[in-house]
Order: sequence, then structure tokens, then C-alpha cells
Amino acid sequence: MSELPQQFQDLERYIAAGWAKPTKMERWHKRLSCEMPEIQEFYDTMLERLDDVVGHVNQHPLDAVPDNEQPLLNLALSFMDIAPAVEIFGAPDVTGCSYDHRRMTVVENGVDELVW
Amino acid sequence: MNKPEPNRSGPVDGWTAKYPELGTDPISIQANIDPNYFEQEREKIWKRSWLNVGREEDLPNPGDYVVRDVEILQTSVIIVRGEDDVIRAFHNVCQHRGNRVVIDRSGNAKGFKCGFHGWTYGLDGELGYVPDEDQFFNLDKCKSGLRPIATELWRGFIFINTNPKQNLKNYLGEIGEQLDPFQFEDYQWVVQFSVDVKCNWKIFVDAFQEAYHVCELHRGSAYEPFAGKDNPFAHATHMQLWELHRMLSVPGNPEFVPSPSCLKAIQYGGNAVYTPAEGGSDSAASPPGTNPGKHPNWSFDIDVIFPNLQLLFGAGWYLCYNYWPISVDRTRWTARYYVPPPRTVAERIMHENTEAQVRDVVREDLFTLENTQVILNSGAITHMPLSDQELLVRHQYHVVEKLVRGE
Ligand code: FES
Ligand SMILES: [Fe+2]
Repeated sequence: MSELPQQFQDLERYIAAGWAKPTKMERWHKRLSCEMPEIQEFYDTMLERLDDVVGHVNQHPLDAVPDNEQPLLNLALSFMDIAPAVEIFGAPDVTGCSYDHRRMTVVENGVDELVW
Repeated sequence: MNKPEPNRSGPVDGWTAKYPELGTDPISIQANIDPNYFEQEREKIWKRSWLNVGREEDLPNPGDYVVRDVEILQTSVIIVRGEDDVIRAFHNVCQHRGNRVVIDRSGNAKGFKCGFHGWTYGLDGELGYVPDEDQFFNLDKCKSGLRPIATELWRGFIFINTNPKQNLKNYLGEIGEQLDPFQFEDYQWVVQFSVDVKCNWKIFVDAFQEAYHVCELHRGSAYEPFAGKDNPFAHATHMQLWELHRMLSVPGNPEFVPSPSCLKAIQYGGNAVYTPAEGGSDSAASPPGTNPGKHPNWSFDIDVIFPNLQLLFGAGWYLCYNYWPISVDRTRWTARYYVPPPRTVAERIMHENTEAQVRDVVREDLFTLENTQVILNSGAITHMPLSDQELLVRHQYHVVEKLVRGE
């Protein structure tokens, strides 16, 4: 059973596929773990639906997004995260001259403990 | 086929010509590979310079502290906000038998107790309690506090110095005055990237103090925002050097067409990184303290506060880079992305677009570093020729050499 508002039922499958992760690190690693066809398909759908999604979630104050709409927000964030894969690299990761992503630590304010 | 005439003159009225004392000769790469040189840098630069160790909002409440292992200073440092709201730094070394006092990396405390014999220090570093004190001989508790490290603030940035020759304000000089109007207090960090890279700290800084490389290294990712018909090699629109510090302005390409996701980001939140302000690049969009050349096609500034702080300023964001040398060929680096706190969900989504771009482009930069270091060690080149566009790179080696020589 879906938790999403009625008009976004079509996006439910992306949540099931793991595209609505709550942290930056997880969203980035999701992108890196996927093949291009899946990323491209997610990109194409989200680009079309993004204005609806953002318009809907944006009705709430930033700190009061209801639990059942948080995945919707995370989908929009994931779209922004994977966009360079489609628009720039044509590959899940930075191409040609990439630095192994496992060597980079991502710390999110308010989520992770600050490391140095 | 005629061989093209070698270009021996170079730009005579360029940026380099404004600083004749730096010359135009190729620069020795010895400073990047010689362990002895690195030891000289440690003693004559890092142990005598003001080093940025974070911002005051990292320690919002009295008792908040962080502990930093600073290899280049060969010490561990406690940075703490006292009951009196003053931020202080101390060597994290017990004055009894030298044990590390604070083991945690961060937290909130009323004081610090050494886990060896229980000597206890206040947030101001003073030695308070010594168990079984009567057994000691002539112990002067007033002189046995944690050893302080000079600490000063500039615009919210915390700086420490183990052997200051001048105060922070004088050390920063004109670059401090130039950046003073920037509204740092209106920004908050959202994400930090950190890496430990096998390269010399100067090679690391160099990778982020010239725009010559964007046309090749970033040809797919970050070329068009900066280089266009009028400025195909992304020539800097402004450069300024001081005794220690330096800055340059990176051009914007007025013809740049943002990607679909970027256009969405702009639609939801106004400014996005690498994207011109509404109506194309515009010096009017440059925040106070930036774009000193007042160039109409301005994208962002790179300011290097010697030796370990680099600030990049765009319209609606700034990035803070910190460099921490570990050895001659190893450096730890953090990059924090600061924005005005998002007020709406839409603005939050806008920022995610720019963060992903910054992260991916930075990973392109990181790729060159270890390849450069490892190949420099071959000895196959001894000097690097530097273009007029790499004036800040040239400046860094001159500054370091001067200080190492004790001038
Ligand atoms: S070494 Fe710290 S109390 Fe003894
Ligand atoms: Fe770069």
C-alpha cells in the first residue's frame, strides 16, 4: 500500500527501487550503484514530474514536511544528485578522471558528526 | 613544413608583469618532493603562521569543544568555547606526564580530566584538581595549566598560531580588509567533503588557484559556465597578490546555457553554483567583498589565505577549503559548502543540485593530484613553466621559498 499522496502513485516504484534515500551519502551511493539505463529512466520521469513534486512538497514549511511526503522530497533531491550523470558524464560516476569515491567522506550538516 | 616560431616573449602586459619581483622563470619542483624542505616548511611556516581551524558556529555553546590532531604542528589541539564565551586552543597534553587529555573528537564538557591519574583542567585550561596533591613536591598549580595556543577570530573564522610574530589582523592585512564586507554570518554550511590525498600540500592548493585547467580537465563538467566565445580559455578577470596571500576572479560565460536540472534549480531557488545570475553573468550579482575588478562577466573569486585556508565566493554561496599537510607527499583536505540557510523546500532542492556538481567537479580535480606527485618523484622534470594565468601558483612557491630561507 502506498503512503504517497494519490497523484504521485506513479512514483511509488522509484521509492521501492531505493531512489528516496534520506541522506546525501546514501543518495550518492545509490547513483553510483546503478547502471545508466535505470538512471536515465529515473531522470526522464522526474524531469517531467519535478514541478508537480516540488510544487506539492513546497506547500509545507521546510521543517514540517509530513512523514508520508518525505520520500517525495527525497526523490527530488535524488534527481538533483543524479543529474550530472545524465547531463554531463553519460555514466553513473565521473568519467575519465575520477578519484575513487570511497576515499571521499561526505558529512551532512545536522545529519552526521562533523569530522575533520 | 615551417616550424612555428617559439613564443619566447609571453604576455608583456599581463598579470605577471605587475609583479616583476616574481620573474617569469620556470619554478623548481624540489619543494614538492624533498622531505628536508618539508621539515623546513614545518618549522618556518606552519609553526609560525595563523592556521584556520574552523568557524565559531562549530562551537555554539559554552563547553563545546573539538579536538584536532595537527600533524604538521606535531600536536593534538583542543579548541573550546569557555564559560565566558571566549574560544581558546590548547595543546591536548597533560601537564603531569604528558598523556593525551581529551580522547573524544568533540563534545560538550565542564572541564577536562586526564584519564591517566585524574588531573582535571577547566575550560580555560587552568589546572583545578590533582588527586592526592599532598604527595607532590613544590607543585605550582597556577603554572601547570594546559599549554595555550594563540587563538584569534576573523569574521567568525578561528585561527591558531603556535608562535605568532604579529596579530591576526596584521597577518591578514589587505586581503582581510577586502573580504571584510562579505556577510559570512548569513551563510551556513550544508555539506563537507574530506579526503586524504598522497600529494604535497602546495600541489593541492595549486589545483584550485588557476582556471587554466578548466578547458581540459573540466571540459565536460565545468567548462561552458566559464569559457565562451569572448574568453575561450577562461582567462582570469582579476588577480591580486599580497605578501603572503592572493586572489583571482574566474570569468563567467554570458552565453552559458544551464542544463535542464540546473534550470529547474534556478527556477526553484534563484542562484545556483556555476550559473549566471538572472539575465546572464553580472557584476551586480557579486556579493560585497568579491569581484574587486568589477568585471561584468564575473563567476566567482578564489581567495587564498596563506597557508591553509582557501575561500571561493560565488553569487549565493561560498566554499571553504582547508589544507593539512601530513608529510611531504600526503595532505588532508576538507571542503565545506556554505549557503544562506534554505527558507523553503524548493530552495533546499536547489542547493542539492549545486552540491552534486561541486562534488563531481572536485573529484576531477582530485584525480590529478596523486598522478602529479608520483610522477614528480621520478625526477624526469626539474622545473615547471608557468603561464600568466598561473600567477598564483608562481606566487605560492616564491612565498614559501622566502619564508623557508628566513627572509
Ligand atoms: S598524565 Fe595526566 S594525570 Fe597523569
Ligand atoms: Fe578544477
